[in-house]
Amino acid sequence: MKNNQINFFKSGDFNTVLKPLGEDLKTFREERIVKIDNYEIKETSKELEIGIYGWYAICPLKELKKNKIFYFSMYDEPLLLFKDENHTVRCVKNVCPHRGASFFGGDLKDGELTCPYHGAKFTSEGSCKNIDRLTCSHIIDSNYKSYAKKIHLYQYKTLIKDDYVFINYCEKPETNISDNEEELNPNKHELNKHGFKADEYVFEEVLVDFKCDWARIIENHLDILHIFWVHGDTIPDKDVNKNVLTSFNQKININKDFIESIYSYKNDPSKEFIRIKFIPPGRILIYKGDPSKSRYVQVLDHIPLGNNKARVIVRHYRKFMKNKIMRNLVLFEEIQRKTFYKIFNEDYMILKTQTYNLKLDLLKNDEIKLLGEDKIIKYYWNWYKNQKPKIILGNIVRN
Amino acid sequence: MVQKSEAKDNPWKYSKKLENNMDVYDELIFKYPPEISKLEIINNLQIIKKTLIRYASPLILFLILV
Ligand code: FES
Ligand SMILES: [Fe+2]
Repeated sequence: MKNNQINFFKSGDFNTVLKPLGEDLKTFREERIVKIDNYEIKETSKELEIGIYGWYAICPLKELKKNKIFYFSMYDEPLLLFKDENHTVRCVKNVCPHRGASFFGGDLKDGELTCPYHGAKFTSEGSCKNIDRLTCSHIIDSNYKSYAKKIHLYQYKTLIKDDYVFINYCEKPETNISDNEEELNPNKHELNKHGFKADEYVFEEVLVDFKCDWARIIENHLDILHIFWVHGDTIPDKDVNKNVLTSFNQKININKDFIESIYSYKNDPSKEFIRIKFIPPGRILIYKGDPSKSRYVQVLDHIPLGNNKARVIVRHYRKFMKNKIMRNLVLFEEIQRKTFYKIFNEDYMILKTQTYNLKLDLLKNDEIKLLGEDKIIKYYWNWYKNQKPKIILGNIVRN
Repeated sequence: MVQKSEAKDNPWKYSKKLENNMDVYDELIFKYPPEISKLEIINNLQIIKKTLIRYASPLILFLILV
């Protein structure tokens, strides 16, 4: 049986890395060539240091409306975001510590959260320097000695950076969080640290929700091959379409903070076509061309809402069309948003069926072949597999 | 003892998808396209509306005046 996987690529000079997985592959390899020229890997470190726990961008700051609770979940753990009375963004487990109701249907007024079940009201409390607790003192009768005198909400640390709300998703939420500077530092996501100055750009963004596996969406965004085939007609760049397949030189950088894949044109190796960078646990940066000169950079944040549930925040930073009046006149933002939705719709069916096949154990190891351009995907899967003990079917397993 | 076909052929082996259907939060959590297409529709309506205001209305005004 022949492998049909790359039949739609007519060009024979795709760099193809195939592990000898079976006899039938031998003929395939001879026919299809395995040419690994100009293929470079730079490893400063064998492994990514960041795991599945860490800082996730959850939503753009402007999505947090006054007196409105933003509901979401992480690995099926229901959570919510809101601004407390000191305008500090809080990330709270959506479980009332009294008897476990959800805050849905409850109330948020001037940063005070009220549970819909027995009306516990939670307000910030803490030492003068850091407001670390959200405490209820209303429904508690302190005369009952053997019962809780106070109840506190369970929280994750939050941080605002580049107009994103980040949370530090870790093993367990805490009732007492401290703004320990050191713990805030490991945020490797700051855009300025990644070779482009965000404030020289303007951006559009959308949020998209999928009923599919979180890890598959990340894979999709690391995958350069599908861009031509699936999105060829939608992406305005005329170099990117179904019929033209340029071949590339690929360079991979492996770092303890990120993995990066740089594609340059084979006939003009000094010219960078695209650079894809994965910063775990959930961020991908895609640069069109060299980061310092790049006219646009895409920032994709992947949020593992739960089993079969995922969200992506897409932000498109660009150096052109900076004039606002002009932008309004040609409906730039709306049309841009329409393009975003179209692109994600194009991926959606594939992501859904891929997830289905995965969940029903239809993706056996030897039925999946990685090609040369998939090298970065392999690194990604290795990283993900190491996180596996903590995740089963998209759910975090806590010990 | 007669063995049930169900036990023998294990027809439910692919029914993993039936697990985990505690979907009380789903409605709350999904808000955006493509899963919830509301925003996409609003955006399309915006485009139509704004195009009309920007390009068609001067034309209509012009026609009325003539
Ligand atoms: S469960 Fe929230 S106040 Fe009782
Ligand atoms: Fe895609």
